[in-house]
Amino acid sequence: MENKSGSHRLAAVLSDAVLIAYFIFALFPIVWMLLISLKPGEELFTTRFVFHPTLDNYQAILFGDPRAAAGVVAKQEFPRYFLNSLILATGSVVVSLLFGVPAAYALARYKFKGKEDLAFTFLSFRFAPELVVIIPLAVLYRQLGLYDTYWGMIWVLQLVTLPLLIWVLRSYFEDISPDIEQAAMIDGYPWWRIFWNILLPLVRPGLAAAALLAFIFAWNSFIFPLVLGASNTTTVTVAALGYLSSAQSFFNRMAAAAVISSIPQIVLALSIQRYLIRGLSFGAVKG
Amino acid sequence: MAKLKLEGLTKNFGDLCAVNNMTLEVADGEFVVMLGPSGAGKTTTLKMIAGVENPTSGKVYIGDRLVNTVEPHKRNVAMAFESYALYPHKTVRENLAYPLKSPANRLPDAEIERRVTSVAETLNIQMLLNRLPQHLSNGQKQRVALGRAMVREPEVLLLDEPISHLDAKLRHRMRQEFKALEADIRYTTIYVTHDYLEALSLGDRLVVLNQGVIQQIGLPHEVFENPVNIFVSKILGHPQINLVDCTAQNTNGVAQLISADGTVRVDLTDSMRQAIEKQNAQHYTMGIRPMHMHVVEAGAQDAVQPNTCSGVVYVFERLGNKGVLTATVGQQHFDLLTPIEMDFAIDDAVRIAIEADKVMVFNSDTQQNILFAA
Repeated sequence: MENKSGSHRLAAVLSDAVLIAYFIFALFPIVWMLLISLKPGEELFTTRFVFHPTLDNYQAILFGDPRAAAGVVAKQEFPRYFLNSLILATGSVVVSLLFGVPAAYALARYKFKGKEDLAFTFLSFRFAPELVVIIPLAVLYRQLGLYDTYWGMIWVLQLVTLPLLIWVLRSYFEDISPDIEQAAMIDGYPWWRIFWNILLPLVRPGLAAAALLAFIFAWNSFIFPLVLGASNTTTVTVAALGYLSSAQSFFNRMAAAAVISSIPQIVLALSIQRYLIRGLSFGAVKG
Repeated sequence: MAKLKLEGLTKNFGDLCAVNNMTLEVADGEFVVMLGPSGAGKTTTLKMIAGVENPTSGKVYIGDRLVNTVEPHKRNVAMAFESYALYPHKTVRENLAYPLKSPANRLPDAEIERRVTSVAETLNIQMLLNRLPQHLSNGQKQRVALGRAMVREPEVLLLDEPISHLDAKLRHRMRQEFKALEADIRYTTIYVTHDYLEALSLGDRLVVLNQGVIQQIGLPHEVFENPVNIFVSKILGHPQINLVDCTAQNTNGVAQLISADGTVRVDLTDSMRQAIEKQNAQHYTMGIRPMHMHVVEAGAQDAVQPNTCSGVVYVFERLGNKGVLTATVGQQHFDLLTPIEMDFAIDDAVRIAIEADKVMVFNSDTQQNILFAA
């Protein structure tokens, strides 16, 4: 008996140790990035944790660098790129919601020919490497005049955001018993009110989680904005690359840009945290 | 309130025929109980009346209006689901009020409050009003589901196994509550159940359903006493009716039904003889209800009385106010209802008397009751 509880305790300690080790392993690059972003250029490559912290890098990318060297691109324009990223990621998620929620519902509820094929096609957008389609897309985009436009970028980012929303929400809709919808119909509500008042509140945890993930994926997307966008639609991911040039590599400014870029994701994740935990059980339907 | 008419109603799910050519008229204010085993098509029928399932063919009339193409929210039908179908994110109060706030039945807030309170009191759930469905027991959920259907004043009220998940005591109370309610409000109601007690006690009329086909419609006690076929005789009554394969024979000038193993012999009454002459079938099935078999004094073993048989006790159960004796007679097991004072030990010899005039006779091939009086 005692032995058993002893081995239990050992297992608990071991699992904690493994978790802590993984925690350090996963978070260290982020800490390192934060440190680099606070370092002056001279101390950039020191590996000791002792340096002279400075906010110069943040000042440079947000407000411009008075001591700018010639040939360094994309520094004081960073706020605009940030706004671009915000517009594109938000726009992509909104468009995905508009089309993804009804699509997920239809895939969950209705029986129709080719349903699974269609669902799989949506999913395949997600696992096909972006590089496979990027060249033909670039040609198409130039001919259609979508190159370097917001709409063009939002459209192509649907490849990233839409499959995610559809697949997450589909399983949430499948969890809701059709009886609940039928009860609401009988209670005297037209379908669109049922959708709005009953179904959407019930899938809200899934909706929040999927929308957040979609936002992060769209925000982090690199290849699409790099190839299909130019000066009008430069995003933070593409702009960060601009701090590295053949003349000089501002790793510290790049790190500062990355830190600022991660702020919206962190704020969003914290603000909808309570929906991320699947709080609502569907206990009202037995079985 | 309105009358309800189903005409040739049929529903197929792929190859499966859930409801087959059902025709039924329910009068204004009538309380009809639909009884059948699971899979008989009861719920599908209700859903077609409510409009949430579309019939494959056939017509549904509410009042004089053909409602096949009328959307559910415009039919003014209320339904309590067997699965409860409560809105998980709404409290009990909001669940109960939800139908009264719909565009179709919008009532003033004060009236909604009054009705919700009153229905909650009837169902004894007033202390649960601010809870979410996930914090209720199944019995409580079922009462909320029932309340959500009763809070309205629908033209047709559909109740799908509304008290099946309550405990026995509460079920009994709810059954009485329904009786009182029936006398009071008189909505046109279809009440679906698989419990024969509910079926016998509640309805103005009883509809017995099997595999999507109506077997029999009638007053509850008539259906019990005069079932149309073996299926209907089996579904009503507990313990179940005793069924014995038998043939009709003349022994020493007495016409008798004799079981296949020869151990059970029942003299034919005149009406049975006439019916059997008309049928002229090879095999019959005798149906004897447990309450029509009695244990008699075993004293006079030699003088074999008519309509008796000998057996041994297989098992004896005391169920509070009555006993259920299972006896082995030849190759049959018979269930008998006995007074509670009696006592039996396993393997005791018993002599059993059968009330011959209460015996039902079915044609084994067609399963029909040959004594059935339409």
